[in-house]
This record gives sequence, C-alpha cells and structure tokens, in this order.
Amino acid sequence: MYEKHPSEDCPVEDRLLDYHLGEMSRSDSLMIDGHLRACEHCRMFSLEFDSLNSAFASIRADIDAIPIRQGSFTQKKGVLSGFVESIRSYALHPISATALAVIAVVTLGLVMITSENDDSEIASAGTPGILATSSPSVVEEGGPNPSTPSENNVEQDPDPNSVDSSKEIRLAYVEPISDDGVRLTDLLSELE
Amino acid sequence: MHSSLDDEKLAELSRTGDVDAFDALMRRWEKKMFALCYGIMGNAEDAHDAVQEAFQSAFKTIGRFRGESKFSSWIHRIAVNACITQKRKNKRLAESGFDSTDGGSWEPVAPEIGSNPLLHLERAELTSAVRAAISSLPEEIRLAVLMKEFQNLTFQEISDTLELPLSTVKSRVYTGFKLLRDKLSNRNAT
Repeated sequence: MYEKHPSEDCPVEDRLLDYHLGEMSRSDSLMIDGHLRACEHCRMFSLEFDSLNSAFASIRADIDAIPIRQGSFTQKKGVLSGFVESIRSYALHPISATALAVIAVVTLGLVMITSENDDSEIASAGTPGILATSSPSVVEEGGPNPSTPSENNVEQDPDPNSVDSSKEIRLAYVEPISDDGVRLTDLLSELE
Repeated sequence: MHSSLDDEKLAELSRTGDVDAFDALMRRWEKKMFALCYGIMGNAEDAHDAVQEAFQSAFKTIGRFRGESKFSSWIHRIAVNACITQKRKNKRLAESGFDSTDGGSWEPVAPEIGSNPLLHLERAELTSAVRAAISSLPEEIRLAVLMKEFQNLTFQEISDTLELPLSTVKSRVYTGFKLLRDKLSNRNAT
C-alpha cells in the first residue's frame, strides 16, 4: 500500500511512533532520546513527524478558531434551563403547587374515565370527540381495528380529518418532553 | 459551581435531571466534539450539524450512562455515530440530487497571516498538503488518526470509544501515520 521508508530498516522505527504519540514510558523515552542522537534514519523520521505534528496543530488551531454556530445546542440549553427553572419556581410556590396537583388529579381522572368508557362510548355516540380520540385504538398505526366497535365510529364520521387533528392534540399533550429529544428541539425552536 | 466538577460527576447530576450540569458538560466538550466532527465531516456546516445531533442524542441517553466507561469515551462514541448518521444523510441527499456535499475532502479554513509571509506560505502549503493527505486516508484509518491527533486520546481511550481491540487501534494509527508520511514525502519529491 505504501513504499518502504529508508528508516524502516532500523528496528527502533516501530517504537518511534509510540515515542512521538506520547504512548511511551519515561524510561523508554529516554532510551529513544539516546538512540536519536546516534541514528540518522530515525532522526529524519522524527523531523518528518515533528513537521507533520506541527501541521496537525495548525489545522487544529484553525478549526478551534471557527466560531460555534449561532443557535447551537448549548445556547438552546440556556433557553431550556430558563424554561425549566421558571416551571420549577412556579411549581414550588404553595398555591401554584396546589393548583398543579388539582390539575394533575383531574387530568388523571379524565384519562382513566376515558379508558374505561372508551369502547362503549365510541360505539354508542357515533361521533368522535376529545375523549374518543384519547383511546388507544386511535393511536395505533394502520387505523382502527375492524373487529372493534370503533370501526362504526370511523365509518360514520363525516370528516375524517377531524380524527387526525384530535390525535395530534392528544399526542402533544400526553407525551412527556423528556422522552423525546426531537420534540424538545422542536419546542425550543418554537421558543426562539 | 458546576465548572469545578469532573465529567463523571456532572453526568451523574445530569441523570438526576440537573439541566445546568448537562449544560456545563456540553460547554466543556463543545470545541473538542466540533474538532472531531470537523475532521470526520470535512466542513464546518456538516460538523455543526453532527455536533448538534450528538448533543441531542447525549441528552436523550444520558440516563443510560452508568459510568461503566469514561464519559469521554461515551461522548466521543456518540459524536462518531452522529457523524456516520450525518454522512449517510448527505449521501442520500447527494444521490437524490439535492446536495452534492459528500464530506470527502476538507473545506479550507482561512489561515491567519503572521509576521513572516514566507514562513506563513510554507506553513500554509504544508497544512494544505496534510489536509489533502488526511482526506485521502481510508475512513477507519482517518478516524483513528484524528482521534489521536485532534482529541489527544490514548490508544486505550480510542479502543474504548470505537469498541475495537487495542491492537487494531494501534495498527490503524501506525498505518495512518505511515501513509501520511509517505504521501508528504512524495509531495516533497515532486
């Protein structure tokens, strides 16, 4: 793949890379120091390596000089920190905490009632609403199960788009932010 | 407060939902991640996208980081994976005709002109030649060389990051440097 370099004739050659890459013990490094004074081939190799190393350092310095793009993740994280902090401070206030607890209990209750009444309510009501779209059968990919009563519901629905939009509302409401970084990003970009 | 803590401690705090700790971690690693991603992707735009992707991935999975490996290995692995994903995206875009970016060669960075123009020119030529030589290295060898040179990782750390045997990592780094030296020697000869 590559042509042999003249210095490869020296048996120390293989250790020179370790020496230059900082992968050698102090005592071994001292031995190489001594060898370099005596071996012309290895000295040439070392000069080439130093040159290569300085080019790497130069490239690295150029890259470090590139400014991090505006709107980078850490900046977004700053927004996120503020957002979380405001929620946290709101939640820690006694009145707010009580209000949040009440809302949480009511929401949980609604979800439980929805789950229990799901099949029977959809089948009998004939028109979908927020409660109906909270049912698991709506969330499933591939549409409603033909064997379930919700099939009747879909067939009788005069506007199929209404089901989709309700589904979006339900998903956005139920999914916790921390479970999905992409949604979090969307949220942050909206905040910006 | 967070700046005095080590990576593992910050990761532990991040797992418990401390957003500031995660923020501090990302700030600490931002430049290094960018340098690595730039080395792999070859241009700033794609490198930024890859870093962004890597941070999002880290944010999502920090809960699964249990400190069994070093944080640096973990975060580097995520960055490498983000670059691979980004390259696949670019490839798909290129195939679809929407974009021609392939990350194959390095985009030049405007160099600063120092007090000695001749020295500057020499340095710029060498740097340019090294860039071209790095670009031409096989992907897996290039990655090992970049991790060694840009990230100053030890062979063992690269081995942990890439989940490769130590001997494989050494072999790749050695081969990479020998290829680079060979290419540069040929350049000097011509």
